[in-house]
Amino acid sequence: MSTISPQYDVRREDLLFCAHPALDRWSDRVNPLLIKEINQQLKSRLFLMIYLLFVLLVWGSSLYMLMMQPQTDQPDFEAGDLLFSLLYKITIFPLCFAIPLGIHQRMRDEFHMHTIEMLTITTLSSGRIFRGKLMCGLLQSGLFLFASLPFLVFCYLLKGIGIVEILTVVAGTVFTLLCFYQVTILYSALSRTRIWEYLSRMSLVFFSTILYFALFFSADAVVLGGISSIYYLVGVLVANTPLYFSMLIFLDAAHEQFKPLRLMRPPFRVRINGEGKVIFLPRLLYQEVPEEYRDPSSNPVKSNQAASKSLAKAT
Amino acid sequence: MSSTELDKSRATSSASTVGAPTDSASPATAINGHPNPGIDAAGTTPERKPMIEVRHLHRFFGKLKAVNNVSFTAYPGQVVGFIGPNGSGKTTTMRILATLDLPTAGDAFVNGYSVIDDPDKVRHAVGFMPDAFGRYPNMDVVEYLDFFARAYGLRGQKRLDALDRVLIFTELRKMAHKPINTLSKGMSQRLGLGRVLIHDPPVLILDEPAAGLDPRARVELRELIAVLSTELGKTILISSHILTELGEICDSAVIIEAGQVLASGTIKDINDKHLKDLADSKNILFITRVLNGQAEALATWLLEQPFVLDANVASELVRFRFEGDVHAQHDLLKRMINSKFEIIEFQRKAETLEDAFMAITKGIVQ
Ligand SMILES: Nc1ncnc2c1ncn2[C@@H]1O[C@H](COP(=O)(O)OP(=O)(O)OP(=O)(O)O)[C@@H](O)[C@H]1O
Ligand SMILES: [Mg+2]
Repeated sequence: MSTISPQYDVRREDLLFCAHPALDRWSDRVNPLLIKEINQQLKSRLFLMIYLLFVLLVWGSSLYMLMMQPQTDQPDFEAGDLLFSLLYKITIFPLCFAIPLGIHQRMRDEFHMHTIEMLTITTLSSGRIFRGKLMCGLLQSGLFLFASLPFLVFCYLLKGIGIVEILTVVAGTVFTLLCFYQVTILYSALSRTRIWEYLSRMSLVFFSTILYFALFFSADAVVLGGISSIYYLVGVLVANTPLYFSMLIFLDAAHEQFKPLRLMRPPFRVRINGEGKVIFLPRLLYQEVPEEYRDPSSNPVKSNQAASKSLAKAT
Repeated sequence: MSSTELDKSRATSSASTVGAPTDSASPATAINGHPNPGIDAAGTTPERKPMIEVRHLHRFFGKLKAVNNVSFTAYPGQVVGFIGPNGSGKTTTMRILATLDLPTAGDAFVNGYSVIDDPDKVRHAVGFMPDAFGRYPNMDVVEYLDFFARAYGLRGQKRLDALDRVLIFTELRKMAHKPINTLSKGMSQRLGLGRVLIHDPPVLILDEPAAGLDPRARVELRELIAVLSTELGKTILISSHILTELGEICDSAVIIEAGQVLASGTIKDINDKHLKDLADSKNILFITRVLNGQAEALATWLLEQPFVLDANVASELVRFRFEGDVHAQHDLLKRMINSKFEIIEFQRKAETLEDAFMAITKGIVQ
């Protein structure tokens, strides 16, 4: 892909998403960041390797379980729940670790390489940038789920687990990941100094571990422990409360980061004010404005403008 | 004319205007000398409205005044050099113009829109090329440009046309499938320029685009910039500390140091003013060339003459500083010849833009 002959000229077919008019039209409607990410992902060796390894593992464990079955001659042998539990643990591993860490890394790179600045001065809104990043994370987890879903459903054929339970667990997992990735993006955007980046990465690993085991045990409770799907779903909604809450906390602070005004030294834009209240710093510039410019009437420029505006009104 | 336009034109009259014979010390009078100021006292529609207008821009970082009351204006098709030593506030000003930063006080307008109040509209009108831009991994040239075309909201055929246009203009077609993190400096500068041009903005802000380029790449860049301004009518603000280079690209310049504008106007004006100042200062460097190893003797002789400040010898050349007026100069030369020195050259050292820059800036470090 990198070697080109000197006579090479670009043709439209050379761009993946322009190759076919229908694909081109579709790609126009999609978040540009997602298109970019797909292009990049297809060339990333690391991602392809992790993905291949994952597919092999899923295949291997399914085959292993299948081979176990005929050796037991109990007529009512049910291996579906066991296989599901095993596959689920394999599947959520990359979803809980590889993808959030990837999000964190890419976010960090965006700030270090100042590419986020180039993004923010395009006509993309910070909301779209954020959603693009989120979609990239979801797309990746979709790929992992896509690879293991046939096997998860296959568990149904091995008996011991109902289709409703399978779908419930998958839905609960996807919902939790959706919340977790949003928080991850916001959280990754917060840290500005290297030490904070390091700390936030470490804490992300910690949170990922908690998430992994929470998902792991709650799914086992449904599949092996026989807890009803409704309880599971309610449990998921309630257990995600800290995530909604942190989303709210980080949202404003991280939103500022997408408009990369590098004005502040402290690593976070969230501060406790004199009265002990948590405040998010909005447009930080006025923090640093010297006294004489804070009062508009004493600011020569603003007062000039005010004067000319009133003049213009009068005429 | 709407009241806002009126308002704008009033405010403009207090800013110094690039390209006009202005005096930065008294900005209020600046507009009068402009051949086409774009402002009409009678209130009729201006012929040319400024594309970039910086009004009393301040940007402080704590106590550091990175930009301290900078005002200038650039009209369509102008290439304005933004010249200043390291740390003078060029990048800070440009980042404000590109809506990447906000001013502490003052305002800047691009295509008539305020960077504070209408950043989105400014973004449509501006292409900003930073001094160093990050490159995404696992991405090739055409994908990079395609991504930014999408990010600027270009769709379908428009996007493909923009890609073609930019690839042809920057001559990056042959490199279309080269991964961007393997590009040479010259090529990545082209790519940066390509990215800036993808949404075809009327205003380009280029932060030290020539830094790190070899002479050939520099000449090519200069040609691209010339085409952009003359044929495509783009307004270009280009920063550099390599002055001689800007002298060839730009029609006018703003010289900035320690956040303050020291001089602004056409390159010729700046140079002429500097020469005039020099003439007034009566402290001129002369170079004489003498034959037959008389240089040492001439230097000794010169030091005994009135108005000569110092003299030093370099093979057959003698350089000396002289603070007399033209009559004194004439006298000196006459005496020199009468003293039987075999002079074959007597000239005032040519003042280059570089000298003007050195004379105007004082090497202030904040
Ligand atoms: N984010 C920031 N925080 C604090 N100080 C800053 C920041 N950005 C710039 N400065 C300071 O503002 C001053 C002007 O910087 P700026 O980058 O605008 O200079 P410049 O003219 O572009 O210099 P150069 O030729 O080296 O690129 C410098 O003293 C710099 O240290
Ligand atoms: Mg700079």
